[in-house]
Amino acid sequence: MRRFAELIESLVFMPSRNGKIRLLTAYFAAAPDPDRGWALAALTGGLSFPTAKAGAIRGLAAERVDETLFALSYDFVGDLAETVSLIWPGAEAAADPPSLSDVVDALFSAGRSEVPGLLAGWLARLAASERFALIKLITGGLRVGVSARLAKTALASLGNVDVAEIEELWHGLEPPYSDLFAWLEGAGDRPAIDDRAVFRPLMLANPLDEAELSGLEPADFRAEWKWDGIRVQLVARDGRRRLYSRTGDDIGGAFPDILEAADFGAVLDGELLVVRDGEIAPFNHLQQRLNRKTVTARMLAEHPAEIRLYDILFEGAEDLRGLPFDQRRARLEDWFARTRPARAELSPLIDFAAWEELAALREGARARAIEGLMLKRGDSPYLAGRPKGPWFKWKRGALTLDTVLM
Amino acid sequence: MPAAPRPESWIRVVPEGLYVAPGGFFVDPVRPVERAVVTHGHADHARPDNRHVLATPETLAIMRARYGEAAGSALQPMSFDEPLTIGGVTVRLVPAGHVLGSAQVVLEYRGSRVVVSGDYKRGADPTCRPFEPVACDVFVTEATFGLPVFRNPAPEHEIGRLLSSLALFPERSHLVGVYALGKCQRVIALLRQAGYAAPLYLHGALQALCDLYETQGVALGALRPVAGASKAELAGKIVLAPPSAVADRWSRRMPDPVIAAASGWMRVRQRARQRGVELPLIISDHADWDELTATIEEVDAPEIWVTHGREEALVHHATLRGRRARALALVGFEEDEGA
Repeated sequence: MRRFAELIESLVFMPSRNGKIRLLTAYFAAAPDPDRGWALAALTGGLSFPTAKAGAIRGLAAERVDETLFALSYDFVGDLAETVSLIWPGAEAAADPPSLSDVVDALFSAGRSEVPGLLAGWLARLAASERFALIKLITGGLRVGVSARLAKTALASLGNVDVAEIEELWHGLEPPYSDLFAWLEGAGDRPAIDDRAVFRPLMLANPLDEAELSGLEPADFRAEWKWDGIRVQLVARDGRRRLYSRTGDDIGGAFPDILEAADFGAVLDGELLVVRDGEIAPFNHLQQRLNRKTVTARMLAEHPAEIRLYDILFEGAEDLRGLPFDQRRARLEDWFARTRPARAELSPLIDFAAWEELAALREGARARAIEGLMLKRGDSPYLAGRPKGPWFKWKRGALTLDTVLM
Repeated sequence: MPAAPRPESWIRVVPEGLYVAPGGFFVDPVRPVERAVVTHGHADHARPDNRHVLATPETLAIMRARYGEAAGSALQPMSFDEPLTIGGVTVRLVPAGHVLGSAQVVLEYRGSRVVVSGDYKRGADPTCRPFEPVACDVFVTEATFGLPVFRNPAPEHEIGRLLSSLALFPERSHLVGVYALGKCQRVIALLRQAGYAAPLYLHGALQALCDLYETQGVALGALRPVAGASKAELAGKIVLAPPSAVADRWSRRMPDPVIAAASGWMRVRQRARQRGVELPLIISDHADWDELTATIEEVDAPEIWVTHGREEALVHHATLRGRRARALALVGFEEDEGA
């Protein structure tokens, strides 16, 4: 617990991204298994204890501290976890603190009524910053300014591998990630994961600086519409089906209609939209469907979802990502013609010979469902992340209104 | 022997400060007065322009360094435990453990004893003599950190965190915000105790008081001015500066500094973050909650007057333990009290 608390403490105060990565990397290098794996799970939001709640902590404090003194202190500090961790009576550095994995193991197996006793026992054996880390761990939301992506970047730096490799494995791994750490430290093989339904990191585009256009050869590029939905990855293989957001969050629970239609074997890149009678609905209709754990039949009927397909990453078990865009596009069209999937359409390529032609099309595209244009090099393989050069997004200009305030 | 007089009959709060009527003098007056007894050199206790000033030789030296002629027209040094009687009141100075020369003022009048402790702490400090508890009828205590959330770790632990950070970021200078009097020299002395022997770099505003500490026998090791040092020279070094300079453009001369601060306020994370501190060091020259409450038990005064900070919580705590406690600001203003 001590190392984990020190990490949390230093992350709270570290303003810079690179500094955070260094702190995380140093922690992952120094902390033992399985502690570091549980810490990684906590930092990436993958750890929760349904039987442990903030109310239990408040109750424990109330049994030990005068009510008026607690109220004055909470008023001054402003944060429950911090107030309790500081006010908890006991020595500053107690002997024999539990390890992070002791805590995690016990909480996983404890019933609701056992939790307060466990917590009180630990709090008595921990120093103030460790108590803070423990309470934050239990109440969830560490809020130390570390995204899952940042934690993975630190792992990449630990193992001197590309962060895309971590992303690739991530959804096939489970806490406490001992196999991952062994591989990163050269003490084990790359974890063999069941990769039939994992998220593959997306290829992202850079915004186009229009001044760059003159240096680019139109014949090298393909153009397609950039639809105003959310970018997703649909994975279907051997009966496993997943819908992932751009960052790898599994959003399939809110889109059973999409998953039901995915009766094929492929990994597809596309734009998730709400489409009624062939008409793309405004973005806020799609928003109604997002961030839901379950979705009603009525919602499914009134806000039907569909994917506009941009790219194909896998067909069956065959990895197509190394192929140039033009070949992948041909494979996508061929696959689409054979498979005829429901709730999916090909996003069409746009013919053009000169940039001016495309600029005019872009200016004319005032349909609500179009955000702008994508430009992709015909020879570009599908690369994880946001490589500079192969893909550009060329958003349409915002509508402006000149007004005078009188 | 007649019963001892009630404390409020001879010592009370007036606009100029805490007034000891039979002796005709004030303790730490807030406005210029004819006769002042000063507990220690911090500016909220030692103010300029009093005529007669009684204090420890170290406190007087600090006042002269800060105020020059304005320190007072007659400065009377008084060593610890050399009592003096003024108008029937016996005055004695006892170490308070706060900063160099800091004293509690022990006042006795016709069998009634009041201890004005000034600012104090109980933890060890290599730069000053430790606090000595004195049993009394009224204990006047500060409450700067008078909430039970203020329970400080050992200062050696905090210095260890500073040195670990220096090892983790050897290319960055570590800029530590410290108050010029007391905290600065204590942090230096703690670093030396921890075996850190490299030169320390000082903001110009800290030099004079460090020199004064040295002449008073507190060894601080090699100190260098920041002015004139190149960016390259400051990499991986510890630089001390007043808190105001840390946030200022002055700090831009450091190579990518780690911003640290040594203060009891660093205990509360949000406070530290508001000040832009990356490495908060909880090192306080004031008593924390445990020290405040333990000291009240130790001096065992039936009456506690609380000043400077979060009076409400400490008054509540002492009252729960059967002592008559109130905020010092109210003493002398509650006509019916104790009648």
